[in-house]
Amino acid sequence: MSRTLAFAFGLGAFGATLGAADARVTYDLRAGRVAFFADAVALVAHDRVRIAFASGLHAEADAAYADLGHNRLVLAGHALLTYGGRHAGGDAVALDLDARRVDILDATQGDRTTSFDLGAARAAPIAGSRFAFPELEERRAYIRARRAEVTAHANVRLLPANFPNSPGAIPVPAYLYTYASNPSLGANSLGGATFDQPYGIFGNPNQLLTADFRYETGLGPTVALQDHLVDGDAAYLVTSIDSPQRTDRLYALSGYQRLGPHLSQTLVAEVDNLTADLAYTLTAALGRASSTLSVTLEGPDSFEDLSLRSPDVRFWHGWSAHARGDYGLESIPGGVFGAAPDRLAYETVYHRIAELFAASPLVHTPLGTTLQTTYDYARTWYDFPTRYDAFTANATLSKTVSKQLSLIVNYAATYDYDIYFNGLQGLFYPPVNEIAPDGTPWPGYNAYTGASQYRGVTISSYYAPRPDTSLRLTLATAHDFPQFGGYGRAPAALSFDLRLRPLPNVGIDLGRGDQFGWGGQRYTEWTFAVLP
Amino acid sequence: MIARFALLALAALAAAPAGTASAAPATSPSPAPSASVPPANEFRSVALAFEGARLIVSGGGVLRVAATCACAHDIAGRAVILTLGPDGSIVRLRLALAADGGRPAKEIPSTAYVFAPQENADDAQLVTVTIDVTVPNQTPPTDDVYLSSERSGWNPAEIRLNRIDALHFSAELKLPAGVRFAYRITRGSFSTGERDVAFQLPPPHAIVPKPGAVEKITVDNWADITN
Repeated sequence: MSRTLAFAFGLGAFGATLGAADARVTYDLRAGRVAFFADAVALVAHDRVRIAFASGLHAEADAAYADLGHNRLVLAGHALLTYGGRHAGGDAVALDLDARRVDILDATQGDRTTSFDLGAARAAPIAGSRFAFPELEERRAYIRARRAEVTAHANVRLLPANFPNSPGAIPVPAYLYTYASNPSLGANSLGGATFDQPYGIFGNPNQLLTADFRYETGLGPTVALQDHLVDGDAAYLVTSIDSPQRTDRLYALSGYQRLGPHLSQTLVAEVDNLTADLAYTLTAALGRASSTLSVTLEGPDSFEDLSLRSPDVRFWHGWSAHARGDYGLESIPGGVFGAAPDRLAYETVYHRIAELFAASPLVHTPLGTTLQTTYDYARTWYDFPTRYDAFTANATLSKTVSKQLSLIVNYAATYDYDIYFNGLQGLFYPPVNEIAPDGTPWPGYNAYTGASQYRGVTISSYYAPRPDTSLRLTLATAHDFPQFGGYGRAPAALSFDLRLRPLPNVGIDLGRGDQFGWGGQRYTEWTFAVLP
Repeated sequence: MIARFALLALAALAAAPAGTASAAPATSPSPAPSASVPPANEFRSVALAFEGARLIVSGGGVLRVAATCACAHDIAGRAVILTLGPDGSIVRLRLALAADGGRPAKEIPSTAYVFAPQENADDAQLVTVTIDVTVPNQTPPTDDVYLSSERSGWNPAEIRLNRIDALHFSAELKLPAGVRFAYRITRGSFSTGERDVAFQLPPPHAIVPKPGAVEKITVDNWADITN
């Protein structure tokens, strides 16, 4: 299977190469100073601006404004256009690159319009939007450069790229900024990392190749290559190689395809030098109901599942509910139930699941609060004398103190029971002298015979005084069984997450989580992200 | 040592604005206007060209310049403060500083133009827009919900929304007026993004910002929650 997946990765890379070949630069802008404004997705150029278009058109002016989002240009001061042997010029020129329209404005004659071949011009009314040259405050420039290669509706490559508002940033010979409008270019097939900074290498509206500079726990600093191919909202394919310089490099693939108005498929795969994992899902909508067929391969183990979910049904005072039925099998060489005496007889086991989910309406409660509750009960049967039951209830109480501040209290309780019949319970949950991570024994663990419970209260406050500033504070407590010094969830956890923008072009996400109450142990974790 | 250098390099790159999967800066194109009220005959605009007796400003309007004008000349593509005389011609023209005021160009009287534009140019004015999101009942109650947009290269955790209650989240955004803004809702990663009622990848939501606009949207399903 590894070879099959490697072929798939190769296919993705081939597709990427094809996509790259199609990445034609629409125009190449050079000037003494080029400033790129990411918030406006625009360029402003000064000092002897020269632009070479892929169509063969050339332009010169004292200054230029490029509205990348709308694919238009405004040339200001001594604007001159050349195409073949033809010339046209004026005090200002507006170019609509999608419509291939040229508007030439002369202070004495007004507006004349022509096309990119600079044929005969005719008088036209001055449309303000075509000649709009917004004032973009120079000090808020995102990147400064001397050259910009623009691929329409896709990206701009700035050469060399300086980041004036990021004091720690290293000037780089070239920086590709993508503004393509396809959300699937944000898909990711790489695993989680403490830090991940993508750097665009090349791309077009339907393709993007990036080098991701990463810090991965256990690996340290590393690099990954990731390629995206997208087709509107209909499909995407992301392939990646994590740490290609290492022998244990990881190949990954993530794909989605819409097969019809009610049918779609996804594929996720990972291959390293030891294992190959693959998950395929086919999802069909049947009216308001849905059905999912999933196949998961994890090395030699395989799991197949067919699930059918009913539509949400509204009943009694806004309550709603739906049911789910599931039928599938698990296949694990050596046996699905490892503790069973005849485990080799159960290398493939079928299961059936019945689940019922219900939700209350959001109701107004005293002191200006609102309350909503949900309930979920699922029972799983196997072709083995065992059964698994799980029940979860949630209650969320909310209070909006002001437009900037809200308080949320959530109570969640889950009870589950792993039941083995025919006297097998003791085999799967034998009495043991469990030692906690802090080194102390916990005889109470012997009371655990497959029935567990997880109860907890989470209190959160959300405070957002300004659009760019928000703070979330969360206190969580857990009262579980089994739970003791260092085993299970932390009895108490306190965390905050602060987002703010200290510089015009740099946002910061700073978080800290503290976990308490594990027999005197305490864990602290900081998280930090730069949001340019 | 090498690892430390690599970390420093990574941190420096992080400080650099990313273009692919990182968030973009907040919209902030316009300078802060002066707190004092500018004189009635002083206007602020971007000059496109200055040809002796005439000045072309952003939007393509052509204005007359008085022969006695104290005028700056190298002004193409730069913000300027222009002062109109009693006859509507420009009597003073200087480069604008960030702190300078000046009335918006759209207030220049039409009589001052030699050639007036058909419409006012979009001056990228920032407006505050509220996005209200309703999530499905199955949303994990302690999960955060985020907005992801094209201005960050679709970073799935670009903007964290504030939780209003069990099923509602909200965010106020400052966006350039009139410029289409496309976005999607996630729970922090692409694999926990929204899906439509048929569990398909939906097209992004889009809004053309107007002052005080409130956009109400509903997430039908999440990609990772099918039960």
